[in-house]
Amino acid sequence: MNGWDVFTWFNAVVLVVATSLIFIFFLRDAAGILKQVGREKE
Amino acid sequence: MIANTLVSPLDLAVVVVYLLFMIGIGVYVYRKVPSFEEFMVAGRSMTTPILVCTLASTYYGLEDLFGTSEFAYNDGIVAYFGYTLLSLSIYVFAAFALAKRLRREKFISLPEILKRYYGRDASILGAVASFAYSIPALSLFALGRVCEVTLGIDAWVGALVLGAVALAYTLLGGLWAVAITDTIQFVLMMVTVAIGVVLLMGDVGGFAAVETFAPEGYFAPLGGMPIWLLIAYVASLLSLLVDPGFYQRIFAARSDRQARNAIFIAIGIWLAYDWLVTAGGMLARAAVHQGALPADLHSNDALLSGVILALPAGLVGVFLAGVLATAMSTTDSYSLVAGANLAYDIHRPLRNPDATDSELMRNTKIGIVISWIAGFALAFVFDRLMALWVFTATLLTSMVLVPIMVAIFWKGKRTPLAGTLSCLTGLVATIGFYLAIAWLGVENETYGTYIWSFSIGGVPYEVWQEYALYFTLPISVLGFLVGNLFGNDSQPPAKEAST
Repeated sequence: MNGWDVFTWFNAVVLVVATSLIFIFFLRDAAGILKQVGREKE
Repeated sequence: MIANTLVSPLDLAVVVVYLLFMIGIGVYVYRKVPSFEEFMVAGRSMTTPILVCTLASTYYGLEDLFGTSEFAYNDGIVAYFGYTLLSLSIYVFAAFALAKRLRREKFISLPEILKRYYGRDASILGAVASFAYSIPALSLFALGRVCEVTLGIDAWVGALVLGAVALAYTLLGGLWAVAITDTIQFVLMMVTVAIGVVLLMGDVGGFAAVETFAPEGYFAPLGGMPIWLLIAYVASLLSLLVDPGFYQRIFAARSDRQARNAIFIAIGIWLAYDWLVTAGGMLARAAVHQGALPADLHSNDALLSGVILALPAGLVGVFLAGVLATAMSTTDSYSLVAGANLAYDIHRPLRNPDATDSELMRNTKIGIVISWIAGFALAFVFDRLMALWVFTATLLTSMVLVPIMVAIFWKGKRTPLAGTLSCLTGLVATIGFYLAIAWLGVENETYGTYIWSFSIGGVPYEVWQEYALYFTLPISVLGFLVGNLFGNDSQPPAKEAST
């Protein structure tokens, strides 16, 4: 495994971990916001 | 064609489930979008995670996925260290300098900035340029092309069906539906590219295999390309600084801090994603060299073919959904922007200044359909789509970059005539430049552009079509200065309500 392979692995791990974290925070925020918008409409 | 060899029924089922899920989100959000502001800027309540997802998926269309990988396939790591790193510097500027000012003034659309600082004439000129730029022709064409290559169906049928799905959820839920579907699309794009490229790397034997055939300069950060040429490429990305979809997301942020943080996080994501796309292109070339992919593989299809080769059944479907998502997220975002340009920025001030909230919603939806139909028609009638996109990006930048940057950063005299003249001179200069280059220049098939060659005092010079902004932006600045010199200093109504 040379340096470019390591760099590729590093970016792949960063991307998957960051995407997972952002998605978890997204779920938390979106649920709250949509509930609030729904209540305002009612 | 990849369809018959590598895409299994399981993969097709995954794609169908994905499309049904996108429509389901539109239907769900439809019941929760009560006003025009909610429809256009999501009630200005988007938080950092949602903004990151919608920014990352909207600005990375198929032209980036396939364009960057093609660049890497042909020229190596310069695709990343030359092009990507330089272009992301524009996003850093946007995060630092633009987010705060734009978010605090509560705009709905980009032309509204021109209206507030320069009045109606400049705003309508800006809206026409924004509409032309936002027509989703290139993304609908790319959607059809991916369907043709991977699923084996006619490009226009694929664009019609998948584009209609994007149109449906955009009409139903506005920016909320766009942002939520963008998030699903963001996850699909990022995860499948990460897994696919790592598997491809394992299959071909890593970068050691690339080094066995790499031409000279393949691993040089600037790849032997002159820096001025890279700067010319990056200058073409100045359109980001006036990109109406980018502005819409900043307007939709809950606060300027959330917008700034989202741009910074998105930059980090793009850095990782772009390297993987670059690596995918280079590794696909190794697969061609080893005979695992056909020798006549088009460099534009390298990443798609390489990753599909590496992924197991089922995950290929997820990857395809991710690729389709890449084009759909661009189609939906720009259809929404173009629809608002027609309804809110052009029709409302000219024909119906007192439009009610529900009239604005209805007219915007009609505008979305018009822009979608225009995009579809252009996609399958016009055969130089990339050139058309470059032209509209140049037009938008030449017309509105100067007046908008002055509006944001200059506190001194800014007359309505200056804004209008700057837009008009940018328009005339762009059209004039393109006509002149087409008339004086010669078409270069290698680079797919027009080049005008001449010599002065025995010294040869070349003017490429790509250099348009070097000429049009100074002319737009000149138009602004002349308008400021002769224009009336009276400002248009400064703080008009948004809706």
